[in-house]
Amino acid sequence: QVVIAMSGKKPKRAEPGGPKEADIVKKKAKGEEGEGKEVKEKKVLSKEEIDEKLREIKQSTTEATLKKKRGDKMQRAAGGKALRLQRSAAKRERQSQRAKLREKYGEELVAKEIPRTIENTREYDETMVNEEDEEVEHDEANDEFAAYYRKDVAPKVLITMSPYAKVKTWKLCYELQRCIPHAEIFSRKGVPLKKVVEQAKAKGYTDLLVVHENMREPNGIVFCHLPEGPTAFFKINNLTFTKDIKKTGSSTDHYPEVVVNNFNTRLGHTIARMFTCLFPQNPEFKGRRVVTLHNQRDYLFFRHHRYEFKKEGTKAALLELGPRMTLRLKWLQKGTFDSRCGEYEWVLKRHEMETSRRRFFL
Amino acid sequence: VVLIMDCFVGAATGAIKSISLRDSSFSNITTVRELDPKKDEITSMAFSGDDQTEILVAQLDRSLRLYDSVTGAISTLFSLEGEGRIRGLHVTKGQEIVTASDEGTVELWERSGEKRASVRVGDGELLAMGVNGEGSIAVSGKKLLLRTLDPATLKENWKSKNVRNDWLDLEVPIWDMQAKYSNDGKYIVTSTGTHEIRYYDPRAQKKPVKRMEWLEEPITALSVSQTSDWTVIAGNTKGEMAQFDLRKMLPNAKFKGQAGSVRCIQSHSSAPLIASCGIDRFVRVHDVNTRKLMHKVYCKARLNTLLLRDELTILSKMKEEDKEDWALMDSRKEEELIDEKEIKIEPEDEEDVWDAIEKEEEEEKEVVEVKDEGEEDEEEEEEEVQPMTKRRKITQKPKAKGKERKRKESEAEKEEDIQEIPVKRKKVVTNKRKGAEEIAKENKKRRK
Repeated sequence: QVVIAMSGKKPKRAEPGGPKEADIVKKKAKGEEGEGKEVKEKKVLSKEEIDEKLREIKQSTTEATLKKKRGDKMQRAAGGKALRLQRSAAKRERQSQRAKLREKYGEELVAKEIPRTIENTREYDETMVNEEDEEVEHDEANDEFAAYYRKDVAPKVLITMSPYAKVKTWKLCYELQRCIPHAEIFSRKGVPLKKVVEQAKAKGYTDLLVVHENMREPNGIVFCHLPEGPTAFFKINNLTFTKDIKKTGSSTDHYPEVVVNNFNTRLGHTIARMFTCLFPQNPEFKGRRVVTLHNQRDYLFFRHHRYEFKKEGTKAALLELGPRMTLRLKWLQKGTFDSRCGEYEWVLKRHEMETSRRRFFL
Repeated sequence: VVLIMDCFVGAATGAIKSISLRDSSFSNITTVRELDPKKDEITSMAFSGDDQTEILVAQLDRSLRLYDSVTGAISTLFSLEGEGRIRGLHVTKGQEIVTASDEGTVELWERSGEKRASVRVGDGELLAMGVNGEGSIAVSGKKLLLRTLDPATLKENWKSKNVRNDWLDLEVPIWDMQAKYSNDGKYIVTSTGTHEIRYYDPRAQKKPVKRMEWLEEPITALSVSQTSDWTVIAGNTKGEMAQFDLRKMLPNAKFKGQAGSVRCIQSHSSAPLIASCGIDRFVRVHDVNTRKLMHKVYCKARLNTLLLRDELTILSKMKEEDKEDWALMDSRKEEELIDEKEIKIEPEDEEDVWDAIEKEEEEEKEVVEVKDEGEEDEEEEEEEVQPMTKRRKITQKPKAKGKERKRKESEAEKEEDIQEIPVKRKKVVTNKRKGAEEIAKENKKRRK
């Protein structure tokens, strides 16, 4: 895409003689002397030259902007819009200069600059799972979800809510029911959660989702994997119902595909496995339905789409269905729900764990 | 191949791991592929023998395994008859094995597998077993009152009584999760599932002498400090660890870092260190004085039990290097004594001797000045010359005569030799008190 964009911008910005001259030079070089040595020398020199040029570009424009930054108090006082425009203009200039160099010398010598992001500079986490880690594989082969992955058990989900829940919570429960195949809703009516767990186990449910409510709005999900599985508590940050999403489609009964993104640590692995246990093991590709749980910086994004492949399978067009949620894991407990006496596998302790902006746990 | 072992952990998957704190790494003693967590989960571990090289491990299927760390061999001793998870394991001085199982039975076994004695302690679920220096066994659990048993016959010596009903006149549930003897073996400290720490004196009364509430979660791990009296360290299911003063019955300090339920805490016998393990798959070592996290080792599996050795690589290194230095100095001493004898004979050299003494005195003064200047320099010198600084302090105080003066001479010469080593001047902000962390860092530098 970038290449295309560049080619689009070229005629506007390029000097009348620029690229053509370069091409001419190249042709001349090839034509005149077929000696490899000279060409190589040119490349070596040009690499250093290129680096110098890049440095120049950076310095020239950044210095200019810095000066402007310092100098123009009036501009700063005027709200900064002019300053912003200046800075973006300078950035575009830099980009265009670099692009020109890249055209001349190719991508290898003039490498693209990688922006520094928080994900790039994430703190080293020992619990990141390597592929082919024997011990982790053994652990996962024997954990609470192993039965699902061995296809011994089919998922059966029970959705319930806080006692005497209000309209919005019920709405969310209905939407989840539509999203997750073979899910059943059960209205709570004051039954204590531990008893719900017992009864669900007795009736053969594999998962329990409890939508927690506060101030007439759903604000949390207690996710309990049933036979003896871990319990996770998520806080709902952003919730939009199907109705409120613009340009939605209608869902179907086909088993969806499940996409679980970016869960790299051991804790992340557990959560990802828990989530996939909600859905049947065999996705029906005919239905073209996808449910995604995407992790970014410990925020889990729940999305539900219908996809269609276009341009002979190179692109996928997405149509959003179903609720759109942002979740945050608060704690993970070993065993079924028992907030008082149960053992916690992971608890988010904000003052100890949220001290660094570049430290994530999932 | 000698494995460096600071502590041993038993995992819920059944793996026994030996951990090296110096390298922050672990190695699996049992091969992980062959394990079946439902049978091999490690429920209890104990050192067998005073040298702490052999570990006895009890698994979920009640089979006992013995690991010899010197040879590196694991063998299955025998499988215990009966049912129930083994919650307590101890090896007596007579090389007999005491086990306490979930069902409420405490049994005494010979190494061969024969059952010497067996006692059904009560109806409840036995969760905790603590052993005295003399071998007396304290046992308690859920709906099982704390009681002490005689080591030889397993007969009940003393039994506790439940606490008074609470303010709603409801019976307080009996739920002890850990029971440990104090260092002198006279008192028992327990931690309960009703978030209390209790202190019993069997000679005085049946009810707990002192009680203390701490937070709102069951307290799953307890350890009596061996370095300071009257202190106890406890951890609960949410990963909170704290140190308590038993005289005031108040928390002293908190150890931060654990993210999940703490399963086992062990305090070191001589150094101010605590090792803890939990379900969040980490082994953490904290310094008791500074409460800082010193070592953290990721162990990939949920950890159940922990055993800490007395000889730790982070501590023993110091001792080894000290020994080397002492040996060096001793050897040099001998050489110089011989030279001094020669000097004695010739009168001309006596002047040299006196000159040398004067020089040495000057040096001492210099040293004193250096010290007065700043603690930083002292620290830097100490980095290179640890044992020497200590000696300096001792020798400066008394004014020596005769032979001692000559010893001083030799030391002065040694000091000169050592001072030739360039001292690294760094801007280091240091505390007077050195924690084992800093010592470990220095040792690292030395090694490099």
